[in-house]
Amino acid sequence: MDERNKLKELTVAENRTCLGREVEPEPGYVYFWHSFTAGCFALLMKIAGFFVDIGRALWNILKTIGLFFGKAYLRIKAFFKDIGHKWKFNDKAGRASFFLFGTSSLTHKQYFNAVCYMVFEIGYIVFMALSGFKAIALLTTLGTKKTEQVCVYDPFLDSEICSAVSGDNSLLALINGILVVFSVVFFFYIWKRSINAGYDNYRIAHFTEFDRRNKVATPYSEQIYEDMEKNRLYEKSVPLDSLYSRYSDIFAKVDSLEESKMDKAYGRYLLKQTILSDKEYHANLNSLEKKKAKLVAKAEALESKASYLEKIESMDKEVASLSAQYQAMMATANDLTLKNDLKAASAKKKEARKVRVKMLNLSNKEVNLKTAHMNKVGAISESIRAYSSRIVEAEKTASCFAHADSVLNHSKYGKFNVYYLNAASFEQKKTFYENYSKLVEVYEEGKANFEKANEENKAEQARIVKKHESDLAEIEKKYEGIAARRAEVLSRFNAEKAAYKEGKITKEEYVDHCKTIKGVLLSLPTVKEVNASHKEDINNADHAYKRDYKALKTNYTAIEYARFSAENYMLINFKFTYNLAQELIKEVEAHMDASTIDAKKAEVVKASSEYASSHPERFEGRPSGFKKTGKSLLDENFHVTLLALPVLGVVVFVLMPLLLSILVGFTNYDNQHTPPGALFTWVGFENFSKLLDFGGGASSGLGKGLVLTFVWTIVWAILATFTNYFLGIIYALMINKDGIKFKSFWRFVFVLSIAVPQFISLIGLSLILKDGGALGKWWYNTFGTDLGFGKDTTNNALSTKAIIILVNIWIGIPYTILQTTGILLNIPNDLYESSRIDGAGAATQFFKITMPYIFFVTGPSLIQTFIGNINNFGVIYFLTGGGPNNPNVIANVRLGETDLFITYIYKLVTAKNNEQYGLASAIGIFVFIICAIISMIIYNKSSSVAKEDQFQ
Amino acid sequence: MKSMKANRILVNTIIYIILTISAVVWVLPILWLFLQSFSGEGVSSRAKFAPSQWTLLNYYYLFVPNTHPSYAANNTTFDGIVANNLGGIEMTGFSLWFLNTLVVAILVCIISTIFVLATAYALSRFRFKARPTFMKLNLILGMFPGFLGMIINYWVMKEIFHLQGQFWSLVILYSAGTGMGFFISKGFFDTISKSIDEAAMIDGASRAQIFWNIILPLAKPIVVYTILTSFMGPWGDYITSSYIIGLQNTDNWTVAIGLYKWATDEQNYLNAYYTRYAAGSVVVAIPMAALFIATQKYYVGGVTGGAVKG
Repeated sequence: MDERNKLKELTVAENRTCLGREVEPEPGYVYFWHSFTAGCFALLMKIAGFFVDIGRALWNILKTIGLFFGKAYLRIKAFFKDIGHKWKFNDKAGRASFFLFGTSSLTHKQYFNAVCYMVFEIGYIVFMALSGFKAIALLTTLGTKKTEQVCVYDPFLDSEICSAVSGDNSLLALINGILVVFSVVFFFYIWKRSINAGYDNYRIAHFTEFDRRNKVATPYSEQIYEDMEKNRLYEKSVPLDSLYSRYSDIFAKVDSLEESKMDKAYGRYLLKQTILSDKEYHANLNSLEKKKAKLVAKAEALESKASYLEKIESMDKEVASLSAQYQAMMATANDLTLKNDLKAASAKKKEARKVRVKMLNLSNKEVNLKTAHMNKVGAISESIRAYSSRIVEAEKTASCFAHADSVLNHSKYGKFNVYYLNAASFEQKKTFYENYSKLVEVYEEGKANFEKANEENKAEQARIVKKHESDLAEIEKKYEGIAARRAEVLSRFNAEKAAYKEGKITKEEYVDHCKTIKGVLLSLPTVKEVNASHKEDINNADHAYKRDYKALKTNYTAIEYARFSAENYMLINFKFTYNLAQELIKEVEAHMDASTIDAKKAEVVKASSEYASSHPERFEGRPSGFKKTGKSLLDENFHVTLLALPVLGVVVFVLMPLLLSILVGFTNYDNQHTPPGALFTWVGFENFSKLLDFGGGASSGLGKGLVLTFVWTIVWAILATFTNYFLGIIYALMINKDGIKFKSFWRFVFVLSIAVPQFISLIGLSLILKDGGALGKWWYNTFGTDLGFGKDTTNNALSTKAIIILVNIWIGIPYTILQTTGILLNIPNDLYESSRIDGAGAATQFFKITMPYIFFVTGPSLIQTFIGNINNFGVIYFLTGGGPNNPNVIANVRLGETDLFITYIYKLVTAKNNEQYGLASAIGIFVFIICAIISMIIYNKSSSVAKEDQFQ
Repeated sequence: MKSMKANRILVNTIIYIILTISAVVWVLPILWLFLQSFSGEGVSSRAKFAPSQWTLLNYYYLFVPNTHPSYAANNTTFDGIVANNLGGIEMTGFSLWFLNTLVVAILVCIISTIFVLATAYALSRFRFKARPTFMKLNLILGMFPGFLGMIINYWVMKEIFHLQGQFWSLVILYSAGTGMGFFISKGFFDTISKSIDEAAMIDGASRAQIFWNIILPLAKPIVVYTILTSFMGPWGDYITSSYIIGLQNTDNWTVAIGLYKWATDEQNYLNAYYTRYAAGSVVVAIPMAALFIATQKYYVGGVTGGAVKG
């Protein structure tokens, strides 16, 4: 805002000089042209922006699809790498479950799982051999053999014996083929599960072995980790082979250990994985850092961009020179006036005005440039912050692979080994008492740290509060200055007025002066502008204050923080389990003396040895069996139980049919090709070219008609959505207004029209509105012409369309009323109360609380309503059945003027003896594309709608 | 102060006028249909607001199969006596359709209420791996015209399940996809504090017990709302039922198909069946309206309250 004010100051100063010289300011029309061109330009930009939005939405869709396939590729690659490892480090049963599913489960006494796996595999192989492969092969042609009568001459009966020989059925071929393709994917999924089960069983059974291997390999692995970090060996340019050779001595050291062959192999695996995962992690980190550095450089460059600064400077200069030019011109014009050469003077003034407009345009441009620049810098710094946090996240999770594998071993497989768990807890308790004094130290340190940090925070918070206050004061001062300037100009006007009344100046002089003052006023920023920028400044200051203040706020007390740090110490340094750490923290808080600790330690040692001696068999755990899995389905895996049937329903009866009908869009499935009598087959994009057929032919001009349908669909969706939305809100506000009585009666009247099923009221309304109906008759009696609802084709059936939209208002408003009433009842009352205390009137409350609240709650659902209206079958079909028919389109199935895509699809599919399934599917795909693009645009635009914190 | 009061009275008067006019506009078509159902003069009363002759026979012949010869001009299969259903009880077409619709709607209502609440609760309370995929998939599926899948479903029902034209196929198709309509319920569950769940979990309740014993009683408004919408769906649906049942299997029609046929087939039925159409409409509308108005207190204020954070 500073720039703008400076500019205004400049113009004010200029006007003052003009004022001194008694020069009339330029009239309003000079500004008009500029604002008109600016408005036109803005409109053009909006339209261009719309197309850019469509482009961006398409790009986003493509990007999503690309990302999907990219991710799928990476996952498949990782899968094969993974199973290689699982093959190598496995026992015989585990390897056998690669081929015969469930072998490993069988050897680990999970009989139920094993039987399920085996029955599935054998059943699947039999199914594929019998019909699966055939079904996939049939998918390429969708069948070749028709069902027909075969007649054989029977010499004994001397006549032909005919019998129907059933052939292929294209539709069943399509359905079966796709199902089999999906079943193959499912088979691979089960295969993976079987492999994983085998590997998990093996690792659980050999838990201690893996633990030992990790312990052996971790130091070497860490060595590599540190070395790579130190020498930045993770750059992409360093090839893996050279890395392996660099660490060949470490590999050799592992090889020379006195361990079994398998252990050594696993050690080498851990080292190799350390190198690989570090390379990956660092590559990721590197790219993040590079991106961040790029952004930082960009931000810096932007801030000190030479061209920008030059441009601003040159603009400044030009503005100054133009202003000087203008003043000089005006001075000469004045001189000319004094010399009574009025004609030349007015010509000069005209020229001067042109210069001035030029100058104002330029200065406006400058302000815009500066704001845009500032916005750009702000956006970049926002993304820099995002990258920083991502880098911190990545760094947090980084560690050498052997360590990560060990953590996995403990967390994933350790929990099944009861002996290990108990022994580990004894060990941990022992460690705890050994390090008791250290933990107490950490605890106290944490407490002290917290208090220190808290004090610092408080000081910082106080500073922030102070800064905020001074900021606000500064803003107030700034705007007081602006207000004072306005007051000054006004007082000057009053002085002129008084002078005129007293007769000190003539009327001509007065008018002249008034014009001047008006010019000055025009050049000042308007009150609205000033208020807006004032509010914006205050908002910005408040926002910064809140953000900084919140960042320093802590949600926990000193003791909590102390506990937290001691717990963390246990978790990180001694690898305690979380529950144990929580349990033991109480003993830290007690600050026990040395003798008690020794006693407790002795107790634990004793208990530990007792446990070890009483469990000589070293129980080998196994994953949860059938019973436990069943129980978990009602507890931590309850969502699987809840979602199983609904998801199955959606997949089988919604997702699969939609996928199949997309495929039908690429076939010639219609009345002429209906199995079993006839077969249909793939035809590529033939249906789509029919949709875009603008010329003659069998379906002459279907393209032309569909363009109209498209326009009508969009217009309908927009009108239907927004009329219902806004009128509904208005009605709800009227009903719920204070002082309106019989609220429940009014609500009842509207609810009544929802309570009657829609098809009944719609059919009833169509009977009323058509020419033979009550309203149609009334119209005829009153105006002498038919209303022509559903019949009149003039102006593309405009009257019918208008009536449909009115009827839709009748149908739809009650829903919005109901929804909005609920929201109005739910607006927290304290919002109103606090605003009333702040002195807000009813109007302010309405515009600042009620409306934003309603928009906030219902805004997101507007997208769905819009999509729903594009596919609104009921209203159109029951009212007009899509009619009247479009006389210009001669398609196989008549296209109506009021048809939406969805009703036309219905017509195509149900047309008696003229079904066009392929064409209908193609239109359906088209509708999907439209809906996807619209949703993408709106989601992009209204991403702020989703941010709930924004509404306060 | 005085002018403010006058101003308020003026505004309120205008609002009363608007509301009164609107109330008339909103009630008239329904009233018209109601009055038509008592018409004793056949289709000619369609052009008037109220019939000039009154009768209750429209309702009588809607359910009683023996059509009086003087009542209807043509006695077609629509009113044909159906003896092979329901142990040989004689029924009119309409009573059969009404029974069909009622059974379908009740079955679908039960299944779909379970589906919707289960999906909503799972998506509101659990964070599992497939959750974002499921939400996105739901969004994408919502963009397809749902009817498109019916072409395939028709054949699946005919060739794989052998249920062509039977109302079991309607039950399956109506209820299968209802898991997708979880948005409002999920929004409501989201507003129920998670600390309630946590407290119950600490007390040793399993997730299933929490859902059944704690969350569902708290979510009574949304349960009622879900039951209501689940019932309304099949009760008023035309597009799916007309395609799946087919126009030939008149015995298995639902009321929507039947009434639509009566009201729009001007060549065959409109003239003979017009008054019975009006009576049928009233009969179909009454249970729905009663249910809707009786449960009004649950969805005004209650349901959308859940959507606030949805």
